[in-house]
Amino acid sequence: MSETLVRGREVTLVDLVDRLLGGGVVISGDITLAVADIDLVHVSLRALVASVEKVAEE
Amino acid sequence: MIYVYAIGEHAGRLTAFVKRGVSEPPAPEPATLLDHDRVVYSLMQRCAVVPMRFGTVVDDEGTIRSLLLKRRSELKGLLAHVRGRVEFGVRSDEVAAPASGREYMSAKLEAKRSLAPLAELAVDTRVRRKDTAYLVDGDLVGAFEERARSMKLALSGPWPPYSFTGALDG
Repeated sequence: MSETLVRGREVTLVDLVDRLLGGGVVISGDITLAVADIDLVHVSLRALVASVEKVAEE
Repeated sequence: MIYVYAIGEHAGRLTAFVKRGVSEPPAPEPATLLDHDRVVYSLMQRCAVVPMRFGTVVDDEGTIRSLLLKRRSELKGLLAHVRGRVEFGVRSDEVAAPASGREYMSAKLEAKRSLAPLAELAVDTRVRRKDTAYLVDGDLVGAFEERARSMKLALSGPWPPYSFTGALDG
């Protein structure tokens, strides 16, 4: 058994590679439409990592 | 460039979760893969998310905005399907080289039958190359893990719903 990479979850590198490179939404083709009504949220990586660590500690 | 982690809903609106100022698509290495997973997992704890394939970058905001707009109903459908749910994986046993097609089919059927009690607790199932993925309601996670334990199965996860997304053909 390989060791888990993330505290509190069973995550091995093999499973991670398999899911991240074989799963998720794929976009392809040209996109021509534009306009609004959609938000873009800039992910603050440090804040997220901090929140993950906090959750792990609790 | 802009790296796109996931699409979700923020304040009731379809939202792309991104990192700006990326100079090139990341190479798939343990650190970058873990980064992607950690961010998407963390997002999932706040709202429904549809993960993007690892390494998705776009040139500008306009591109991602148009994609969201154009694929709005599909994305909303995907989000509705995964909301409040997480993915678990069960590795498939390596099937020894079968002597015949018939033997192969019967091994496949047997594997499916033996995993049926687990599938009962999931809302959706995907047979993947190396494992079977289960989409499980948040409320049933404990029961699902318990049943896997009683069946002596090793689970991976919980994961964001990586295996329950589709291709968005722009």
